[in-house]
Amino acid sequence: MTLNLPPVRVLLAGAAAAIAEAHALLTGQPDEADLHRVHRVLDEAGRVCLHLFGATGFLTDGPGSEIRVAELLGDTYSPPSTVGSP
Amino acid sequence: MTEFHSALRGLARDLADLLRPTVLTVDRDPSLAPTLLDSGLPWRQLMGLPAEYNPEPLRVCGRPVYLDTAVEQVIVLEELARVDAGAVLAQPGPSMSGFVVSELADRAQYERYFSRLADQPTWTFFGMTEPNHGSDPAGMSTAVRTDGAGGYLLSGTKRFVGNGARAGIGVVFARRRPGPLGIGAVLLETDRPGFTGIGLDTLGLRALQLSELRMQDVPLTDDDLLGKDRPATQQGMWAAVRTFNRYRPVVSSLALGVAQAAYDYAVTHGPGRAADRLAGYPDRLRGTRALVLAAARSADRDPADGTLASAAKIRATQLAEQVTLAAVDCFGPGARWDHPLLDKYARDARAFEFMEGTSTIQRLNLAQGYLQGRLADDRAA
Repeated sequence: MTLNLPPVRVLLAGAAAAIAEAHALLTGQPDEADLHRVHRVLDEAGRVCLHLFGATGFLTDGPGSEIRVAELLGDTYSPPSTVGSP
Repeated sequence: MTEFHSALRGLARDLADLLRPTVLTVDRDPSLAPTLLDSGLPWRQLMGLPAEYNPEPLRVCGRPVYLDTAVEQVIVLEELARVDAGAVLAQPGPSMSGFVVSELADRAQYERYFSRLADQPTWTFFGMTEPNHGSDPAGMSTAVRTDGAGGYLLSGTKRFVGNGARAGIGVVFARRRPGPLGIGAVLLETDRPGFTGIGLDTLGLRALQLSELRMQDVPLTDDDLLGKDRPATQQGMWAAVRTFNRYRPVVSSLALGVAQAAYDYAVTHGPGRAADRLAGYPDRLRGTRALVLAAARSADRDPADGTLASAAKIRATQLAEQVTLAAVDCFGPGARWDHPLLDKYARDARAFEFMEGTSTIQRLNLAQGYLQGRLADDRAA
């Protein structure tokens, strides 16, 4: 099964790590900088999944459309990024 | 970069401006791609026809330019892709199937293919990927069988084939015998009975019109079988591997063009801090450009070795994806709606990841090539 191939698992882990970061940021009371980062890591997770889908992820009637919608929502609603660190 | 290469790049940059007026209209409606022939761009000279079919080539520094080498193609096509990568891929001409024909065809097949392209604008296709097996030859189900009367019948489905629905001629890979050496290449006009090309709706590079090719008992003769007189080890998959190695630097140059376009757009039209936020990218663009050129030189020298081609594709694909998203992020909320060109760059960049092999495949190729000592110092070559 494809999911058992080590290179596929490596990509899957990349997406999972990004999703885990988003979950962590949403714990408690996220501020605008947190929300900005949440959208960006979701973009990142989406792109990693696109790499797994290959050309199928490029079709408008495939899973890539859901990732595009997520990117558009992130672009529209994410607060501007802030410069600086804690 | 030689003086010739710099002059060639300058010429391509000037020509690319001719594509600007149609970037978004062709993206919205890929059926308009044939109108690109009216853009003023000298397609006949740019499509990479062999010298014997291109009697009036472009000239740069007094030299004829046929655009039939990977080095010339990566320089010119990067500049054109800085305006519209989709339009580059939507141009008529030989592209990947032409390389297969050059590798495998007999004289009659060669003449049949290239004279048609020289006579009239003709789109071509390279039919390898299948819906359920990708490009894995072991799973290829498209097959040629005898018709019992001295001819053959071709049946199967190919998917994600660029320009497939608008093509006039191309190459289909199909199983002729069991086993790894049983894949053959077939030269095929699209007006044969039983052949159908259907455009697929895609999220980016829409002008390319990725398509599905459906073949049901398409009649063939011996004249359609490419490389039929060559050894079994130098037939379909041999040519396919060399073609992928030859064209990966070209795909990389298109990705690089999109990456540069997104960077340029953000720095030119974005807020004042855009250049600061994208500060690391000029160096990466420069490094990737050098790698793509090195890969093109390697491909021209020996298309059997795809090590550098894989390295270039990994770097260019990654850069295109990252800089297009970073450029969008420079503009703040709503950038994709307010800046449709930026949105197009981000959508187009997604395609390079899977074209001619995903980054995972390229990493496996590159690691293997490195461990076998094939990533030698290219400067001495």
